[in-house]
Amino acid sequence: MTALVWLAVVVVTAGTYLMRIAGSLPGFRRLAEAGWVRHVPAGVFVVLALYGLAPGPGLLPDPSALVAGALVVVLSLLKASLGVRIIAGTLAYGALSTLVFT
Amino acid sequence: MSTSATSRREFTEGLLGSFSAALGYLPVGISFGALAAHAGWDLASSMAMSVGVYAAAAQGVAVDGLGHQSVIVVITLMLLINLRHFPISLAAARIFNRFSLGHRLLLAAGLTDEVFALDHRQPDRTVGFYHGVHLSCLLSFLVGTLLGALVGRVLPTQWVVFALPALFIALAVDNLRTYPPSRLPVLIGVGVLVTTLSRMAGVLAAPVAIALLITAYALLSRERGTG
Repeated sequence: MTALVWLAVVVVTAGTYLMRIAGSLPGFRRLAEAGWVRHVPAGVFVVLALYGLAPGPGLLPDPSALVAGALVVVLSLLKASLGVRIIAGTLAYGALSTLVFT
Repeated sequence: MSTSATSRREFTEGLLGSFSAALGYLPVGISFGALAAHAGWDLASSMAMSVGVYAAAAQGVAVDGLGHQSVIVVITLMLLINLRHFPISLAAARIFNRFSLGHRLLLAAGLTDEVFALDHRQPDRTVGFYHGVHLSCLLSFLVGTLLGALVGRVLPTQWVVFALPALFIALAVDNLRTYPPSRLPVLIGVGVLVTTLSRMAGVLAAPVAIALLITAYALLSRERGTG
């Protein structure tokens, strides 16, 4: 497990650093300006968010996750800071899954 | 005032001026550290990932996937998530290109979405200021990771397990807000459909769903004239 983590650290650190200096490297500018790159964050986070709402093997959402997720969406629309949204969602899920939807 | 004294003053201004914004990194770091501790990672691995990758969403995928999925799939997903640094880097180059290559290489290491937003607010400062901003945010994230890794093991799983989905939901909302509001029902509907179908198919579900959704969003934006 530790070896896999370190492999991921090395490869992703190098890859991400290349992306972070792309603006200073002419060869990368064309790729960064490709139209589809603009849609990557939304595509990635929508899929991962939906996975988070239905974490089990089935496709049905976890009710605690749905309510906690709705709270995060509302806080996001209210432009709360990222840290506040994560803590509120995490605590809501903890309380709901422990006390309500047990 | 000498150049080095000005540079030190600017560095301090950047470091302290971004302190409140940098505090936002603390809970994100704590969440990652706690999840990693729950997943059985040692402190050195968690800290190394926070120093090197320095991108909570990608790090969350690593915690979630390593040990359950192929390491190649996890690394591919992490790099896909971090692709957003390409356009950020291009935009940041407009601020940093007046500095020496050495400074640009160092500043790039600390470039994240939120850090760029802070840099972008004051685009005409000296290089010391930006080093201060970047260091402040990185230190906050590292302190958070350390705290999370230390206390994460004693917290019950139910009280930390939703940190990652909460992060992804928050970032999904932030990114969807960049699209015209009238398109959102279609974009979300396509997202649910693609994700559900790929999960039913099973093999490499998440990477396939992501690739399909990026393609769908690019096509929808082009056809409807929003791209």
